[in-house]
Amino acid sequence: MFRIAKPFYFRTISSLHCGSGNDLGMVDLPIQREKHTSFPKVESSSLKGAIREAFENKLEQQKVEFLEIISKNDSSKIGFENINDKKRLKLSFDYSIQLLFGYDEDNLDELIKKEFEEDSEFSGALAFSDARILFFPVRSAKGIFAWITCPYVLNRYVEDLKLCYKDFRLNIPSVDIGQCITYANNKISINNTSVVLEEYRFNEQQNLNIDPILSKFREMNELKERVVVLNDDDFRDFVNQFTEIITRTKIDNLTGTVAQGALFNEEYLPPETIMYFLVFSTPIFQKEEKKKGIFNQNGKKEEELVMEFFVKNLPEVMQLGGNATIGKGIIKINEINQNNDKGGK
Amino acid sequence: MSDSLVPKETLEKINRNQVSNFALKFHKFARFDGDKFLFFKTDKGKIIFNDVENFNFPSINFNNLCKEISEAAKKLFPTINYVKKLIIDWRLTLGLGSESVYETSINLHPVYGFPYIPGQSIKGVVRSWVILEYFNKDEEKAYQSETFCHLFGCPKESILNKEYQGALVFFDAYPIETPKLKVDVMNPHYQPYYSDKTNTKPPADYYNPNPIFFVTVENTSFQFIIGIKETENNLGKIDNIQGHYFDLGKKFLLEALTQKGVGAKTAVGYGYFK
Repeated sequence: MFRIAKPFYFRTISSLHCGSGNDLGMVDLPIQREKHTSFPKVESSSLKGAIREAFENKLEQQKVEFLEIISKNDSSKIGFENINDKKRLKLSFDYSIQLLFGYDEDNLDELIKKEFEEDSEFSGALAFSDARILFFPVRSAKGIFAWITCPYVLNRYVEDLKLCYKDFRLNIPSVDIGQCITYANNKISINNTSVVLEEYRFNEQQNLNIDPILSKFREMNELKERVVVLNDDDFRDFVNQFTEIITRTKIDNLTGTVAQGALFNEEYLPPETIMYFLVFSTPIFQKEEKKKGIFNQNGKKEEELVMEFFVKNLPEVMQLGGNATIGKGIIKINEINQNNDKGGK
Repeated sequence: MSDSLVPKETLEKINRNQVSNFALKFHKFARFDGDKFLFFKTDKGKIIFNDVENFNFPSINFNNLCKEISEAAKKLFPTINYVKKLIIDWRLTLGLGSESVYETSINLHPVYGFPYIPGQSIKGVVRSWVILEYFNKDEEKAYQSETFCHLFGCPKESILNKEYQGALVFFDAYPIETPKLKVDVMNPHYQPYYSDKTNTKPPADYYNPNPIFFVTVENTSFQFIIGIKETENNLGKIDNIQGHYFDLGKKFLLEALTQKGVGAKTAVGYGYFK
């Protein structure tokens, strides 16, 4: 059973395509969506895969951060004692990745494979939730764009965060269709009475206060200037009809024109989308104490060490979803910090 | 003004000229001029209206946006990345044929609404340039080059016998300063001749010219970025050029942008950088 849960969020820097395969609709390659709400999501398996890859990249770039104790020869517990320091650190890090994310022998060092020879069937000590939508960017007639959200999304966010912070509580106001609530002194209001998103006008009330939510985000000040709480139905319409659709073509090299049959549509979450997810940790799933590597220490709980290791090594920027080679899916990840009450950058 | 076809209650609050997001202004608050949508109109050489030029993209900090992308690229590829600022040699037009209420369109950022060059356009042009220049236009021949396959990716029917993802990563190119928009015109004189499938109409001078306006970007610098993982930056060879994948990619990127051009109408001088 999971012992620790920690919330994280990401903001997309470039468009993000976490695909759900082919579709017969208008869009050939749609994004993943929740079945019951039709809101965009990122499947936990996509997220876990991308994060694992980011950890493995860290290893390649030799920019790994260890827990404090690694220097005290504790890695010798897992049989790498006759190897020089640099290689041993690498091995130990890679070994830890297996413990945290599960065993994957592709491109794995022989020495690590040997450690798992007898038993490579074990579960990773980390678990991930789906990434859920929190703020979705929509073009605004004033102030370039707004971050829309809705009471359902906010309430769900509060419920989800209770898994991490028991005393997290907030009353979310309700909003009628065609109405919206914003902060005072925002960037998107027209005469302090309305907000125009795409071609639609919403009557505005500037009495929003969701500080307990926003203060945990680095972008707190920007969020306050752009957040718009819409009715659930209005929100649903925007996240369904105003995602980014890119038409991809291929140019025939011989004729220089668009190649026959090579035209398709792809759906993307636009840049500036903000989603959140939870990460859970458990004690290491290994029978023998010595197989637990750096996570076997006196005094500290394994699940705490697992989470500490994860947070320390989680890259600030990573790539998620499809079409990496054309610069898509670049995201900035951060912890949703309970104590970050000052916010700001 | 009631010539934008957006809901009435919206127009009570804002008109076209007050819209700060250019994509929204251009595509949604489009001017409906009697029988069709127009962003530019002239009468006997006099400009009646021009809804495109002089738009100054208020409250967008291009410098910061470019910095955000280049810093993200540097974090993804800390050891090997290349950030290059290039200025349009003459004019650039991109996404001319995309769906639009006008006869022509332009590629605009989905959120900020300024013209930009998406990664796929850049990768496509560079890849196409390499095939054109070093493989004699023959894609099949390119797939027989290991270096080409590793650089740009390949299908199963290639020398590697396996599907590969390319090693080079091309990022979206944003303008580093307020883009200068310019209305341009193409003016086909013999349209009935071009569109005649029966081959009976001659290209004669008695047809009326048919001016079609389109939006271009001129005199604007863009930020191009490529990156590659250190572990994938092997030595390769294309034609007689030897080098690490990254150096080859850099060379091809510059060649393609300066000699092949990106976007539409490159055959008549659009889309070249210097």
